[in-house]
Amino acid sequence: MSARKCWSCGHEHAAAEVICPACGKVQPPPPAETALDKFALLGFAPSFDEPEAVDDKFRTLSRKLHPDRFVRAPAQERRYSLEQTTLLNDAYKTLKDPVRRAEHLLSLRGVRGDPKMSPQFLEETMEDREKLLEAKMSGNGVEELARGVREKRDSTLAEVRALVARGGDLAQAAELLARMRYYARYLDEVEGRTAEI
Amino acid sequence: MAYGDKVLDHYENPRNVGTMDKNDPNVGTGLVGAPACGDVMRLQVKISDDGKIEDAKFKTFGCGSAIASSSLVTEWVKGKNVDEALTIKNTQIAKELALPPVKIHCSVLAEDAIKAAIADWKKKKGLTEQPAAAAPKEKRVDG
Repeated sequence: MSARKCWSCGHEHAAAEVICPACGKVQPPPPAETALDKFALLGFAPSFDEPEAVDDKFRTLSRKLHPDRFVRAPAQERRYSLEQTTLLNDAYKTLKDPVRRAEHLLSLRGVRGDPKMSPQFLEETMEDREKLLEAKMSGNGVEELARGVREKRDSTLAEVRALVARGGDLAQAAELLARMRYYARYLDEVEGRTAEI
Repeated sequence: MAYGDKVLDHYENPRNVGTMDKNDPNVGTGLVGAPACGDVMRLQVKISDDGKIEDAKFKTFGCGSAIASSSLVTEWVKGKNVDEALTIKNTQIAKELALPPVKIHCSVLAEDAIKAAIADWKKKKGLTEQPAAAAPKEKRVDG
C-alpha cells in the first residue's frame, strides 16, 4: 500500500486513510485516474461476501466525513469532505449490493469492459422475455416465470462465487455477472417497473 | 429529460415488429445484447438473391431508445441492398432520433444488430469474405 503526505501537517500516512492520523484533517480523494478500491475505502479486504459490520463502518466514517462538520473549516477541507463523502456513499452502495460488489471485486483483479454474451444466453433471454410478454397478456403464469428467473439469478450468483473462490476463469465470471443485469431487468418487467425511455 | 419526438413516435408506434423464420435460407438474424442495461434486440432481414433487403423485422426488449433505434433501422434498410445497409452508422441513428448521450449505446446496438443479421445471411449463403470486416466489434453474435 502506497503512502502519501497530509496536505495540512505533512505527516506521512497510508494512502487509504481518509483522515490524517496525526492532525485529523480530511484528506483529498485519490486522483481520478487511480483505480479506487472501494473495499479499502471502508477498511476492508476485497471479498465476494458482504464484509462484516459494513453498516457500522460506513456510519462511523460517514459521521467523521460529513460536510456538516466542516461548515467552518477552510474551503479546501470543505471540498475534501464533500468529495470523500461522495466516494464513501458510492463505495457503500457497491459493497451492499451482491452484483456490484462482485463486479468491483473482478475489476480489482483486472477484469474490465463489457463481457461478450454468448449467443445461447441471448437466445434464452429473448425466449424468456417473449414468454413473459405472453403471460402478461393472458394474465396467468407470470409469478411462476418470475420464480424461475429468480432461481436462475440465485444459482448464477452461486456459480460466480464458486468460480471466484477457486480462482477460476474471471472473464467467465464477468459474463455470468452480466447475466444478472438481464435477470434484474426481467424482474423489473415482472413487477411493472418500466424501463426509462 | 426531453426526448425527441421521433423517439416517442417509434416507441409508441414501432414499425416492423415481428419475427421471421430464422431457418429460412434468405433470412438473416442478428441477435445482440447490451450487458450494461440488460437490453436484448433481434433484427431480421429477408434478402433476395440479388442482395436486396425485401423485408425487415425486429423485436427488442429494452428501453424506448433501443426500441426506436431498431424500429428506425428496419425502416431504413427495407428496399436497400446489402452493401448499402452495411454503411449505416450508429451516429446517423442517434442523430435522426436526437438521442441523448446516455442513450448512444442503443444506437450502437441497432448498428450491431443489422450487421449481425447481414453477416448471418452471408454465412448461410456461403458469402463470408473476411469475417473480421463483417463483424461489428464486441457484441456481435451469429444467429
